[in-house]
Amino acid sequence: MQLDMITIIGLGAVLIMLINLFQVLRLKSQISGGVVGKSWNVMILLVVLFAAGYMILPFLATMPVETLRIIVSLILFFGAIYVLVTIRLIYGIIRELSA
Amino acid sequence: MADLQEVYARTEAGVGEIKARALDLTRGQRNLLIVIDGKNTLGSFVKMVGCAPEQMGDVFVPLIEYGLIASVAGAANPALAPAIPASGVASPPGSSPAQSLIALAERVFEKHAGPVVLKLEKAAAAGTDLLSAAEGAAKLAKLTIDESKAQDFLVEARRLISA
Repeated sequence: MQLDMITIIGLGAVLIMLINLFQVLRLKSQISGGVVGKSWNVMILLVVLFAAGYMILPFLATMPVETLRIIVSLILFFGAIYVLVTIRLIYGIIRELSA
Repeated sequence: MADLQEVYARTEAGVGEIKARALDLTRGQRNLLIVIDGKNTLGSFVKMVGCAPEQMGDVFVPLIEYGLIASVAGAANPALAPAIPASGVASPPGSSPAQSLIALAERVFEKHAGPVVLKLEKAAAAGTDLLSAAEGAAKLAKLTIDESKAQDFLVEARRLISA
């Protein structure tokens, strides 16, 4: 594996995503349900998907272009869902706190 | 059958048990141990403990047998302890309603009550208005435990505070 700038950035992304995974799983024990709890399982699933998806980053250079395009599209798609869930969660929290 | 008109207070052992949780008490027994205050009759705690009046004996008798509570009737009992909140901090004014709120939270939220109880204990220690503390705790529960249980808790807490 060639250790160039892209690989280093990819490894950094994987490391950060693993930290994110650890955090969402740890917080799960404190969130059994409610407004946040409803979204939390979706968040966990998405972080698991991202963590798995990011694992391929160090091997990008060796992949066929078509496979690469599909993977990038999927990451972008689930990224959009993640942002949507996060925005809705924040909105729900603000609504509850201001009620 | 327990005499529901009798007034009981925690003993030193009872105060210790609230902190230590060494005995295998049921939730109802623990709730009763927390809310019992040496002022109100046993019957006034029936709803708070969450059992029928005729079941109060099952909750109450083991506490007597363990020596965790004792009747305040008659001569002063040197083993009786002054009421303190479950957190063990110094009693702020109105500590008894705070204890009742904590017991209510434990009853409503059961095994998930931890963060709510902690919030109520902190509010009681800081001398925060009980209604604000209850509303804050209900919001926390609504966000992280269960929306309908949070609503039930708030309704019951308001009734308890206004009583």
